[in-house]
Amino acid sequence: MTRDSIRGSSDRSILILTSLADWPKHGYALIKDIEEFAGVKLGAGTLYSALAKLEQAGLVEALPAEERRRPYQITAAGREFLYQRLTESARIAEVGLRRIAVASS
Amino acid sequence: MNRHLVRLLLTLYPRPWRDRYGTEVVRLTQQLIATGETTPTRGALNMAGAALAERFRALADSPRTAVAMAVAALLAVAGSFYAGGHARPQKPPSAASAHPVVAKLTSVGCDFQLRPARGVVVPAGDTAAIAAVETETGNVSPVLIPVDVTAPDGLRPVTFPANLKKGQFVCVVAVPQSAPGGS
Repeated sequence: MTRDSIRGSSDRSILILTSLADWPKHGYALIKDIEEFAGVKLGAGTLYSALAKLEQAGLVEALPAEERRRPYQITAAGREFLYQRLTESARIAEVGLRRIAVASS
Repeated sequence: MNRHLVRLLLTLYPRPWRDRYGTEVVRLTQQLIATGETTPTRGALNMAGAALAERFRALADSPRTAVAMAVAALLAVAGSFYAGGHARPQKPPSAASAHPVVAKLTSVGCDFQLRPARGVVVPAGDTAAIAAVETETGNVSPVLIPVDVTAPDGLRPVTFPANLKKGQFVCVVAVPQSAPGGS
């Protein structure tokens, strides 16, 4: 199993929700932002597949198009979902880091 | 990408998806190519891969497919009862095969509705536990999945009991999440 192979579609959803957490973004801005903060370069097809799922789940919503580009924004449910997932991840990260530190001391 | 290729790639997507997101995904792909962020080949491959994934998803969500799968499951269950009527030396049943109905339904029952949901895990074939969860949660949709299937997007990650082995089955009951901010 490679490092990349453990990045599932769930991770993509979290990346997108994280990117939208501050303000709405359109597709290109999402790709650039995610690349910048996570080092993950999503393709257009991949991005819109994930966006479609998130929209269907009510976690993001499309805003009216501006200059032929349609921005997306996170919903209240999406913010709650992201908060819970990140809290879980932070808890796991904390335990993992603590154990690594103990093992290497 | 030329117009013919774009049209071909778009036809790979299910029609509702294409109508809703087709223009946007093409525009973004062309923008990524124009800015040198990707090549036309990569852009086309990414669109084609995503289109296939959407096709599979649409197939899994189709009510007609769900009915066909249910009929197939009933036939499989009926077949297993028929085959079971012909006495033969049997191996001791595994956790999954001890409950043929559960096992058969499991193989066709993965009809996840994508929405924030809670996953409740009970041991395979533990009908009392499944019934208890259903009673406790009220209006629920039991979804049976094999242990080695990852919970899809929209479901909370499920921690499977450590004593379950690959090939055994668990029951995940998907319960619509309460309103944001609720418990």
